[in-house]
Amino acid sequence: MSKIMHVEDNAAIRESVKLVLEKEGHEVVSYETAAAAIAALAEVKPDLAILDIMMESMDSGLEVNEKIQKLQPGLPCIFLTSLGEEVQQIFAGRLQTGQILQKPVKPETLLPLVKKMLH
Amino acid sequence: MSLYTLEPAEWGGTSPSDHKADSRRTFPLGILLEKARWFIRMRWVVVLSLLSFGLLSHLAESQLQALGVIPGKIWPIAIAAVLVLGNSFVALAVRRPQRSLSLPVNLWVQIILDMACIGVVIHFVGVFSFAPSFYFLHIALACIFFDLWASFGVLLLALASYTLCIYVELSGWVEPAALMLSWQQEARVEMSGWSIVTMSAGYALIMLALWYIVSRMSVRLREHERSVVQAAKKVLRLQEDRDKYAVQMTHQLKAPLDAMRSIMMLITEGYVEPVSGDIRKRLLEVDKQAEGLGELILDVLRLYNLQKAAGRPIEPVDIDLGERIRAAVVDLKQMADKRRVRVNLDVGELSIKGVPLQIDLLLHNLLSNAITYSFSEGEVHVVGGQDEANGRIFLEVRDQGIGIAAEKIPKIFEEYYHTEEAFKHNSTSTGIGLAIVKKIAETHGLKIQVESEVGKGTCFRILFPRRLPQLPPDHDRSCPICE
Repeated sequence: MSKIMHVEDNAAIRESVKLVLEKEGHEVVSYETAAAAIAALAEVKPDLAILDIMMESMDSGLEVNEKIQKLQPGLPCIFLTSLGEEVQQIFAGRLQTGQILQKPVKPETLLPLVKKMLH
Repeated sequence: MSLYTLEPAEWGGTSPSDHKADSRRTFPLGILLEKARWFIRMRWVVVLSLLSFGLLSHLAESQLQALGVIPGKIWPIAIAAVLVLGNSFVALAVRRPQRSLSLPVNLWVQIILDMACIGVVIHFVGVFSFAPSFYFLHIALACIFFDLWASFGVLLLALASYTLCIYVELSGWVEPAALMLSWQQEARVEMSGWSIVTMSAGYALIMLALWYIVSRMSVRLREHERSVVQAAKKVLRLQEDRDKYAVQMTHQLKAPLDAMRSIMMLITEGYVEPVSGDIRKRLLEVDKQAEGLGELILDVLRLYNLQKAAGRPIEPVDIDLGERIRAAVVDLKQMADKRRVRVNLDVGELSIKGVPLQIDLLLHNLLSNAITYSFSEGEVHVVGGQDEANGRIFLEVRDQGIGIAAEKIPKIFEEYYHTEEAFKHNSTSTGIGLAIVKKIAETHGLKIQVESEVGKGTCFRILFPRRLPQLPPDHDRSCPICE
C-alpha cells in the first residue's frame, strides 16, 4: 500500500480522486491548501503527490512542487489541471519531474500512471 | 460537388519591435556601442580618402598642380595615421570594454581628437573654403547621440577648433594654406579686416543654428520616442493582464464543470452506491453535454491564444507530419470506435516546419470533425504526400459524412458557426474548431481546399507552403532615432 498526498481546492475532485485511489488500496491524504500540505509533508512522508496546478494562486501546484522537492527530493508528482494543452505545455516547461493530466481525470488514465510512478 | 478554397491573407501584423525603454535623456550603453561601430566605419572612409589624396600627391604631383590643386604629401597621411590610432582605441573599447576607457569617455576623447584633426584639415584645405562645414556632421551627430548640454559642448569644441585655426594663421604662427591654388590667393586677399570677422562669424552662426535646430528636433524626437515606448509598455501590460484574465476565467468556468463530471464519474463507474441503468444512462448523457461544454471553454481559450499570436513571429521546428497524424489517429481511436467510424491512413514520411502544438491542434480538429460528421459505419481516409504538380506537401482528410451545402462552405471557418445539419448530427458542436484551423493556417501559410457534397461527405485538403510566411521587414536599425 502506498501513501499518496493529494492537494486540491475543489472538494468534489478531492473526494473523487480519493475514492478512486482508495479503491485500489492506496492510502490518500488530502489537503485543501498548499500551505497545509507543505506543513504536513515531513510527517506524512508520501510516496507520491498529486497536485492541482491552479489553486489560490495561478500556479500554486508548481510552487508546492518546488517546496516539496526541497523537503523530500525525488518525490514523484502528478499534476492536475482544468486547462488545455497550450497551458499544460507552459507548465510542463517549468517542471523537471512529473506528469500533467487534464481534469476530470478518469480512473483508466490515473491508475496506470500512479502505478507507473510508484514503481 | 462543390469546391471552396481558403487562402489565408499574406502574412500581416507588426513585427515585435525591440522597444528598449530609456528613461534617461541620453542613449543606453548598448546603443552607444552600436553607434560607436558605425562611427568607426565612417572614420575608415575618411582615412581611406585622406590616404588616397596623400598617395595621389606623391604619384601625380604635377598633374594635380596642373589642375590647380596643391598636393598634400604629409598632412593627409599624418592625419590618417592619427585617425587609425583613434579608431583602434574605439575598436578596443567596443571589443574589450573592460580593458579600455569607458565608452562615453572614449567617445569624448575621440570627439576632441576629431576636432583637432578637422582643425588641421581646415587649415590645409583653407579656412575660407567649404572646409569648416566638416564640423557640421559632428555637431549634428552630437545632437542626435548626446543630451542638450553635451551637444552644446561639442559645438563649443568645434567653435574653439575653428577659432584656433584662424588665430594661428592670423597671428603668423603658421603660413595660411589651401587645397586649391585659387583659394590660397583669395585667402591672402581676405586675411584682413572685416572679411575675417564676417566669414568666421558667419560659420559660427551657422554652427549655432545647426546645433539649435538639430538638438531641438532630437529632444522632440526623443520625447516622442519615450512616449511611444511608454505606450507600448502600457499596451503590453494590459495584454498581459488580459491573458492572465483569460486563463483565470477559463479555469473558473471549467473547474466547476470538472467537479460535476468527477461526481458523475464516481456514480457511473460504480465508486459509490449503485444506481439504476436508466439513471446511469442519463448521467452519461449529462456527462457528454458537460464534456462538450468543457471543450467549448477550452476552444475559446485556444482561439484567443491563436488570435493573440496572429501576426507575431512563430518559432517553427521540424515536424514529422506522418508521425503527428498517426498520433492524432491513436488519440481519436476511442471516439472513432464509439461512432463506428473506420479511419484509414495512407501517410508516408512527411517533414514540415511549424509549431508542433498548433499542428497537433489542426490535425485533431480536422480528424475529429471528419469522425464526428461521419455516418455510423462510415470511413475516414487520411492521405498525406507530396503534390506532383507543385511539389508541395499535402494532407487530405476525406469523410463519407453529412457533407456541407455549397453556399454554407465559405462560412464554416467563421467563429461559432455551424450548419443546421451539423448541429442536428452533433449537438455538442462548438463552432470554433474550424475557426481554430483557419487561424493556424494563417500562421503557417497553409492553403485549405474544401470539397463537399451534401449526404456524400467532405474532403479537407491542406497544402503546406514550401517556406513559412515571412515576417514583415524589421524596423530600420540604421536609424538612430528609431532605437
